[in-house]
Formats: sequence, C-alpha cells, structure tokens
Amino acid sequence: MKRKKQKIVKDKKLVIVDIIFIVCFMTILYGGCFVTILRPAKKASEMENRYLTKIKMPNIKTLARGSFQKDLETAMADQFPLSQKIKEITSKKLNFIDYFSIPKKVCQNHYVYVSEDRALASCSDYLVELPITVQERQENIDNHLAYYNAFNKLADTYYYVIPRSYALDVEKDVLSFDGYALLKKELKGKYHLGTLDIKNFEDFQKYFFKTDHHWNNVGSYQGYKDIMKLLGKEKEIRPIVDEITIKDPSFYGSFAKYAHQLNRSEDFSFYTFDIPSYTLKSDGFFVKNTDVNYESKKHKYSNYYGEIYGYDVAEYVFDFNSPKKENVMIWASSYSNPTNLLIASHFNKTFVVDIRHYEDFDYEKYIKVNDIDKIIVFASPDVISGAEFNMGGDEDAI
Amino acid sequence: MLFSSLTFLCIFLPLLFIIYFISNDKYRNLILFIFSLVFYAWGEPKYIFLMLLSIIVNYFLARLIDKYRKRPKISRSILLLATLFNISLLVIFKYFNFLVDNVNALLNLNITMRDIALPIGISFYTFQILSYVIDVYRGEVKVQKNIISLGTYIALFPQLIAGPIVRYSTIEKQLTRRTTTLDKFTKGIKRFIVGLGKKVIIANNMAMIADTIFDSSSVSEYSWIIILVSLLAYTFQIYFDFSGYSDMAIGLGHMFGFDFEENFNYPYTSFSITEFWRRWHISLSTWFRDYVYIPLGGNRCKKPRWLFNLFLVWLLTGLWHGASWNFVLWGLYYFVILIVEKLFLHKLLDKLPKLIRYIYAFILINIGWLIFRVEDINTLLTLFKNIFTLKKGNFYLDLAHNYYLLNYIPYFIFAIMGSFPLVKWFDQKIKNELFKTCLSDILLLGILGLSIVFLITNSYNPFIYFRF
Repeated sequence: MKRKKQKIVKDKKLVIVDIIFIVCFMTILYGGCFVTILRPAKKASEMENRYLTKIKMPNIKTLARGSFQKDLETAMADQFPLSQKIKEITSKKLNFIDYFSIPKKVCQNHYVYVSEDRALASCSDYLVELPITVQERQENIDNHLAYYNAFNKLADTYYYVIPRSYALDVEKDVLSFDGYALLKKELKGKYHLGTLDIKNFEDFQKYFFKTDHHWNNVGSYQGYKDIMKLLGKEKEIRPIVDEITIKDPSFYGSFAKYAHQLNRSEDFSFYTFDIPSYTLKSDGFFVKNTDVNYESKKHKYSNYYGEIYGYDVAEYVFDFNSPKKENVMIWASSYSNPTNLLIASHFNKTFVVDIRHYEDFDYEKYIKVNDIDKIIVFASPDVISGAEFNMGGDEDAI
Repeated sequence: MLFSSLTFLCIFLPLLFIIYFISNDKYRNLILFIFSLVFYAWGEPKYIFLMLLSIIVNYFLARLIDKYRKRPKISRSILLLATLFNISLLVIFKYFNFLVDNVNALLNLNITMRDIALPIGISFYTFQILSYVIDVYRGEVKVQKNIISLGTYIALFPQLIAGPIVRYSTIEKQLTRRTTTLDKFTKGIKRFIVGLGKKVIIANNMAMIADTIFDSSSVSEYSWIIILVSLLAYTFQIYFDFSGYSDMAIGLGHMFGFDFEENFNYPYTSFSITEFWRRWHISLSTWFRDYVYIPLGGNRCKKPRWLFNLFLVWLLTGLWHGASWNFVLWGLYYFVILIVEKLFLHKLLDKLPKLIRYIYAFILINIGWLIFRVEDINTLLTLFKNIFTLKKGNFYLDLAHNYYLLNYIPYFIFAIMGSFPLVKWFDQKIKNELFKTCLSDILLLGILGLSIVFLITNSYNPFIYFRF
C-alpha cells in the first residue's frame, strides 16, 4: 500500500514535469509567432547590409505563384525575435575550427574557409580568394576583348590592370591571372596600358584590405597616380591633404561578412583632397556634392567602402565645367569608385559607366553623343573576364 | 510546407493546435483534412487538385469494390481499374519524361518531353491509396464511407509528403475514434523535436558537405579522400533527413491521437544487407513485401520464379525512388547482394567477428548511396575509379574542402552518435525517472532552440525524400 502511494506521488511529479515541458514548447512556438507578427517589423540589417523581408498580405496571384509562401518564410527568419543577434553570434561562434595552419612557402599560416559555393584562403591575417586562370575565363575574355578593340578605334583608350586577390596564386606566390600580359598580347590598335604593380603576396598586402575584396586607400591612390602618368598628366597629380582613419566601429569587409568571420575587422582609412567645385549626376539625377559625412552613417557593420567612395550605379556624370578640357569615359567597377572624382577633376566631363547596371548600353552611340575623347578601363580580372561585365550583363557582381 | 520551417513551427502548428483542440470531436477530421490540404498546397498549389482527384476517384472505386464484393469478376475489374488509375498518375507525373527519353534514345525518335514538375509526395500517397483499395478488395479493412475520413487518411499532413507509408489498417479505428492524452501529447512533442534536430542540426549540415561536392561541376577532380568523406556525409544526411522526417511525422501523429508504425530502426548498426533492409524505410519494404512480393508467390515457389520475384521487387524499389537509371542500378545492386547473402554469404558472415560483418555492411551501404546520389552514370564510374585508384585531386579544391570539412567535425560526431541506440542505452542505465525526464526535457528544449537558431541562420534546407 505504502509503495503504491509512493508511485502515485512520483507520477504526479512526472505529470507536472510534462506540463512544464509542454508550456515551454508552446511558449517558444506561440511566442515566436506573436512577437514576429505583432511587433513592428525591422527594416534593414546592418550586419548583412541588406533590407529585411517583411510579412506582407497575400493575394491570389502571390499565393498561386508561391512567392508569398517563400517571402513569408524569409520574413519569419528575418523578423524572428533576436534574429539579427542570433546571426551575429553564430557568425562569430559557430566556426568551430577557426584557424588551422599548414606550412607554406608564402605565408607560414595559410587557412581556408569555404562557404556554400566559394572558397577563401586566409594568408597571414588577410582573407583572399582562391586563384582563377585565363584559360577558365577564355570565353568571356574573348567577348570583352572584342569591344575593347572597338574602343581603341573610337577613342584614345587607357587600360589600367588591377590584380585583385583572385589574380594571385598565394600558394605559388605568382600571378595566376596576368591581366597586363593578356591585354598586351591581345589588344589591337592604339591604346595605353598600365598596371598596379603586384607581382606577389607581399605587394598585394600594401594595396588591399585584409577583410574586403577592394583595394585600400594606398592602392587606389597609387592607381590614380599610375593612371595620371599614363594620361601624361603626371604633374597635375593632386596631393593628399589628410588621412582619416575610422577605428570605431572598425570595418568588416565583404570577405569577413561573407565567410562569417566577424571576429575579423580592420581600421578603414581614406584620404581627402582639394577638389574644385563640380556637379554630379547619378543615374540621370543631380546629387549633392560629396563631402562625405561618414559620421552620420556609421554603425557597427558599416560598409565604409560604399558609403565613402560611393555605390555602384549605372552612370555617374561629373561636370567640372571646364569646356577647354577633354571629356572622358571611365569603364567602371567598384574599384574605380575611390578614384572617379580624382580623375574627373582633371577633365571637363567624366562619364562613369558600370556595364553591370546599364541596360542596353550602346557604346558607339554613347561615345559619339557625349563627345568622349578618352576612355579609361579599370581592368580588374572581373572586368576583363567576368560574365557580369559582358554587354548587358547581370548585377550579381561584387 | 516543410516541418523544418518557421512558417510551420510558428504559424501552421500553433494555429492548428488552437482550432483542433477547441473543436468538437466530430469536426476534428475535417479540420485535419483542411489543414493538410493547406499544408500540401503551400509548396505546390496546383497539384492539390491532382490529390483531390485521386481521393475522389479512389473513394468511389473502393465503394464499388465493396458493393460488388459478391461478384468477384466485377470487383476484381474495378480493383484493376483503380490500380491502373493510380499507377497511371505515377507514370504520367513521375516517369513520363524518363520513358520518352529512353524510347527516343532506343528507337532514334524525337518525341517531345513534357515540362512536368513532380508533385510532392506523389509516390507516398499513391502507395497509401493503393494499399487502401487493395485491402478493401481483400476484405482486410472496411470500406470508408465518409469521404472526409478517407481524405484525412490520404492527405494527413504528418506523413503526406515523405512517409512513413501508413497503411489504412493501421489508423482505420483512429480515424473514427482517437484520444490525445497528456502523456501521448508530450511523447509526440518529444519525438517531433528529436526529428527536427536530426533534420536541421545534422542532416542539413551533412548536406552542406555532400551537396557542395556532389553538385559541383568538377566533382571528378576531387581526391578519393574528399569523395569518401562526402559520401559518408551523404550517408548520414539521407538517414537523418529521412528518419528525422519520420520521427516528426510519428510525433505529430501522437499529438493528434494517431499511432504510426516505426519506419527506421538504427539501420547503420546492421551486420548484413538483409538486416539493413529490415531496419531501413520499413514501411516501404513491408509494402512491397505485402503488395508485390507475396502476391507474386514470394519464396514459396521454384528458385527461378523466386529470383524473378525478388528481381521485380528490387527493380520497382529502385524505380520508386526516382525516374533515372541510377535508381534502377541501385535497386538491382541490392537485389544482387541480397541474393548472394541469401544463397550462401549469410552462413559465411555468421562465422565472422561482428566488427568485420559491420564493416562489410557499412561499406556496401555506402557504395549503394553513391549509386543513389550520382545520377550521371559516367560521373558515377569516374568517382568509383577515383576512390579505388586513390586519385589525388586538384590542389585548391582539396585544400579548400579539407578545411571546410574540419568545421563539420562536430556534426559528424553527432551523426555517428545518433546512428547508434545510445539514448536507449542511457535510458536503461538511468533509473531515476524524474531525473531522466527532467534531463531529457532540458536537452530537447535545447535541441528545439538550436534548431530554430539554425533555421534562422541557415536557409539551406532541402528535404531529400520530397522528390520521391
């Protein structure tokens, strides 16, 4: 009898534990549901540098297409309580094995990270892309060379090669994609050719960010000086007035964000210059003159490169109102953004065209209509060989 | 809709709980039926009509079979009609392009293929419907006169799209009368969380490795070791994906008062392939046994006929998994091994140490999964060659993936642990029920939390068995 009574007491405790368990389960489910749906939706993610999806009302069309269902799932993930904090923590903590070293000729410590569809190597404290070769991009290269050679006939053309990280084989410590040699061999007609002087990883470190795919202020200023020499305007090179360094919050470059390496960040420095007054149109609209107020924009995951140098758009037009000077077209990518204004300050009008965003671009007509005298091509490996830089290309490039 | 989605966890399920449990018993099937249709239509709205057509046609055909029970010729003809109808749906929506492709290749024709997407779960619900109609014909179950109840059985969302294949006889009584007790409901939640964790924490991470390699256009450039590790990842992926889904289905079934049969029993602990197939996708194996193998005569016939019966069952098992030659090859691969085991190998294996038998079975299972995973026969042959010749790979590809893989070591450890009945072992070891319950509850809530974290941070979420 006593034993039976004991068993009943024990069962009661188990029942209470079961009820507590069910309550916890339901709290997570219903809590997640109510908080996600009822609280005001967050607009953007600073860390991911993108707009967040919000829960929208369905209609028959979106339901039938399935787009409402997909958006709802994305919105739930985006708007779930603490979702951004969760992503931040997991990005920092869920790389169980962060650093592994193997002896290498170039860097004593050479680490590799791979995300779903791409690999990055970490050499010293730099994140770099794994190398590409000319052969694997040959089809696009042929396509691009066709219109480069057309440029050479239409205007005085200047090619400036920028060996971004995937032009470099950090294992062998040589260029795997030698854009300079390629253009020298393949370009026809009258043209000028220069390059950012990178032959090995040591050179690379001077000119590029540790956590981002772009060149840093040293690299882009060197590029500006090299291009001025190519243009025969060496004496006009604008000196640096000041160097500003942003330390807090520091800069999480594209690679750091992409590879979930949020334990890596770096200082972001940029130069200031004395630039005469000008007007600027972005995609056909006048925009304010550009003394960058980075202080007003900065947040923990600021994309300083974009905020300070400008984002990629189809067309910028700089007008310094100097009719005696020439007009120039810059064949742009994000690499040209730090130097656009500097270069433009030596010309009358500067047309910066990013083919990835410019629909149905007719270069012959464009050069003729805008009375362009010179063309400057920022020949990074992606500009020379990327599918996104084909005429009428897509917008997926970084 | 996926079980492992925030939409299901935070909208569908909470809403269903409220409506289902405040409703009167007599409306509960209708509620489950409507929610099941919404669940199915969520991913592919247009195919809801196909399933409804299937329910209606089979409902009437089964009633006709019952009506003409005393006139065997007629009822048999109706059964044949029902079988033809169901198999035709499968052929049209699953095998049409495969057949056309092969006819074109064989006869040098140019018949146009049709742009048909595979309706989710069609193989599962077609087999369930077939079992119902056949069982009605055999007199093993009573015909269901309430179309909503039949619809609930066929469309029941827990097992609708990825099984287990629930026989009508299993839940016949529960369709009309079922109870949800506190104990059963708690058990259901716990089983559901186990399945969710298997899917989201282990299978999805294993998929990251397997899919990165096997979906790569340069898959044949990887070294043998990378291919082997990726194959191991796929072996775990498919088990935790599928058994995780079955766990969630069984758990959800419990929550709403149903008892589904088990579908897996630690298949990677098998000591032979025969044993593996007793432990893997049990509902499919038993379906083929009861509705194909035994009606054909099973093993109670002459040896050539028995061989033919087995051959047909394994050919169909392969084809059931997909309209592609690699699935046929996969089915026949198991046919050959099972024949060899049954004829003489079993006796030999029994004399060997358990470890050798285990390794034997595990290697063959992995080879089977490689055939299953790689649809292109030429790539498959290249991969086998790379593995068996210990091929060195492309330096950068290998380097990248070596380090990529290192990040997944913890998930491999979870997968290995989860493949063995460790929980059962602990369950037997710990005697204090209260402590055991509290400990498991805390762990399960942790798994639920972690799964939600993974769902938020990781959008890579494919369910392998959806395409079957």
